[in-house]
Amino acid sequence: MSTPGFDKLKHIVVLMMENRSFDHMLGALKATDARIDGIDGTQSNVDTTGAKAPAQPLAQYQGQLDPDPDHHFPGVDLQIFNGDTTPGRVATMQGFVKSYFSQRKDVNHSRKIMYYFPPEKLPVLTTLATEFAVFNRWFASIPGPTLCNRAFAHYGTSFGHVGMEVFYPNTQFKSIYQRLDDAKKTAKIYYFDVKSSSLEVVNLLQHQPQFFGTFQQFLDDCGKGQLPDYSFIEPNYSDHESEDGAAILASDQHPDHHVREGERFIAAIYNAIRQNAALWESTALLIVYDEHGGIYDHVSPPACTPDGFVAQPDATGTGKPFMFDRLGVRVPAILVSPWVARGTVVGTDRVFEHASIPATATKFFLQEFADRSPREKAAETFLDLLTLNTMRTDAPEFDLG
Amino acid sequence: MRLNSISADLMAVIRVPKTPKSAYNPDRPAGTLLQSQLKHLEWAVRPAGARTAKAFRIRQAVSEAEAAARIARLNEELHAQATAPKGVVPPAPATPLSAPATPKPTAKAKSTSRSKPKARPAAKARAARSARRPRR
Repeated sequence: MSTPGFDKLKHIVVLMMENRSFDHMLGALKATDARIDGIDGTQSNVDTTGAKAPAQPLAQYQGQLDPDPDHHFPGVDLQIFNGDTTPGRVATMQGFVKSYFSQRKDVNHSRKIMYYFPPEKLPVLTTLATEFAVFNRWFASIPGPTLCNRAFAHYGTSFGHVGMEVFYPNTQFKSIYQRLDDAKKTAKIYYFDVKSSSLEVVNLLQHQPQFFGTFQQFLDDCGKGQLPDYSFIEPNYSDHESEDGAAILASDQHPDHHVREGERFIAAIYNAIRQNAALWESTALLIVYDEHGGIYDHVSPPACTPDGFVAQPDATGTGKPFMFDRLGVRVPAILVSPWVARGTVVGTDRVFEHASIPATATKFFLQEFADRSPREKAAETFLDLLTLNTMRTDAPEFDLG
Repeated sequence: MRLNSISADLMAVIRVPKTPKSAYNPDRPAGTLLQSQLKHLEWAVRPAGARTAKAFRIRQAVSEAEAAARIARLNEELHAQATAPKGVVPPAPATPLSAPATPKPTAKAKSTSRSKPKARPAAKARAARSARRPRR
């Protein structure tokens, strides 16, 4: 592949946010662009009284999804299959309200799991989605929680895990950071600060702290033009005080953290890259969410290449093993680059998941790397979206005040 | 603040409002994600010999602020250990720990723990939120 944008590319930056589904964040965009597979007014679940619970543009920044919607393996199984456990079951996406009801036993509250944001409430995410490339089919790698899904972004597999366990002391496959480092490339995970730290702890932080930096260091590296070849950014996972006593808001958008603070975090990253002209023309920024967080999406997760692992029934909590042969719920994903055509909508014929992240970085920086998981080897890559022959000069700006 | 222009063909600037100060609530109960992160860090700072096969127990963080403070301490400790000269043994753990069995990377790989969703006590969170004055 050779396009001017691809030839100019030097840096891949990945930002992984927390726990929001595609329909919840971007589904409303269908009203203005029919190519985007979002909400068209027909999507609904049935609540526990038998009444229809439609998807509605009533999502709030905070205070609406409390308790935290279930997104562990059994809960997601219920959301996708609506309690059907038969061998030939079909993914109907009809169990979201039922699942949320089980947590608070409040019918009216359970219907809020169907709510989505109108675009004007998410000016950063929706602007980037419409100005650059939005993926119609980017799924979580596993129908389960955060840590196993994030593992796919780092390793191309979760090594058989579907939960939040401490894991990977004996990894079979190298992380993308190690692969790049071995090839004399540079790679870094930027966590927000020491009080937020990283969710990729056991292997990398314990043994290879050189792969880590803070968000402030990311901003500094952008300003100095010293960004690594590959960067992975983690948001702030908690409300806490900074070293000098200032209040720092969580920016991960995990319920019940304020969604706008995540918007501002995304904009800050975009701005940091955008402000450095040399960096802007040579960087591709992927914004993606780790999993859906138990929030409604209407697209049934597809089958996928089995991962070579099996999670046993006691791990899945469903009474059945999981073969890693189908994906999790769809999540928002956006690719930003001045070489991406405005209004690019990646079609429903191309399926991406988090293994696409190391697959893309490996393909670009290393070309070949044999010892990877079956899932990663089969994963779609996304740098072919840098299609333009001339760099765009109309990229949006965000004023953070 | 407007970015430095890199071309003459810019779009209109999109203003992103500030997050309201009322959103700040360090007393919010620490959720499953933070508890898991704490557990991972607590596991990682232990010498290998202190990680036994059974699931270990650590004291759960009550609030996000507490989790953040403990995470900071553990994060710094991990960095110190990782950069310490070879042969330096880290201090013994304050509480006994053990780790869940690691799944083997084979077709029979197995996860031993089963995570369950943990509801946040909404009333407690709301009370804490209203009691704490935002400092942002």
